[in-house]
Amino acid sequence: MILQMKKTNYEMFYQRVRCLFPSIGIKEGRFLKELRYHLQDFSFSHPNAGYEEITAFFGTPEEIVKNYIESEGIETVVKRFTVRKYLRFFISGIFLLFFFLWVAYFIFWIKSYQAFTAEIPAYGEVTLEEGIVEP
Amino acid sequence: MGKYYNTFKKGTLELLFLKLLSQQDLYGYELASMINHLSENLITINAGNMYPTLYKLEEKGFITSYEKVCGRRMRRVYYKITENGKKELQEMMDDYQRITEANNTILTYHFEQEKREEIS
Repeated sequence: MILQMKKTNYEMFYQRVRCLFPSIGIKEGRFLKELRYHLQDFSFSHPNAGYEEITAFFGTPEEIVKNYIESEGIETVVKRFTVRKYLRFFISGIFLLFFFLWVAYFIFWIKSYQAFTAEIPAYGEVTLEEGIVEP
Repeated sequence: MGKYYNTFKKGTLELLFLKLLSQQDLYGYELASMINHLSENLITINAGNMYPTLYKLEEKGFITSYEKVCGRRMRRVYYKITENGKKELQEMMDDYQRITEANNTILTYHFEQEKREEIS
């Protein structure tokens, strides 16, 4: 379960932080999960907090993401995001390759089937002659 | 806050986290609230640098974390100091004390005062 927050200022705040991340990996996912718990705890002590009150306590979503990237180290984060981008390209490439191979195989199979069915005679002629067959 | 606030705060976050965690296991919100409360809101903790700092401490093996279900649908991630963390905290505190004393000596130093002492 992840927190059952109403579509409130808390959810809006969380969504904004989430949208500001250029890429979400394991570390960012963990951070976002804990931020959600953090917001949940804050929501219990401040049930009717306005958006401004939330940003006063947590900082703006931009500040949170900026602080996160600074704390992690800008170079490390950029490197991580770049690796993730290339990995995504690679996986997409593999999927595309498999897709094209599958389509090619399917076309080959259809053509083979058509060639096979074309070679089988669909009907044959049988001539029956009347007469007595001698033993 | 002044423009040097963040620089000084950044340098002490690990120490503050380890110190509070040495007293009891705490979850993120509790940790941030305690620091706010104890510093009389002079040190405000931003989630953006609190969690990465905690993750770094965890990577170094100074703290561990565990998830706990509280109530019906609520979960919290608690942080716990390790034996290595306790040793590190002691070392950090010793270094911090030494540096603070040295800084204070320099900051309260006056040339005239020294001259007066030399004369007397």
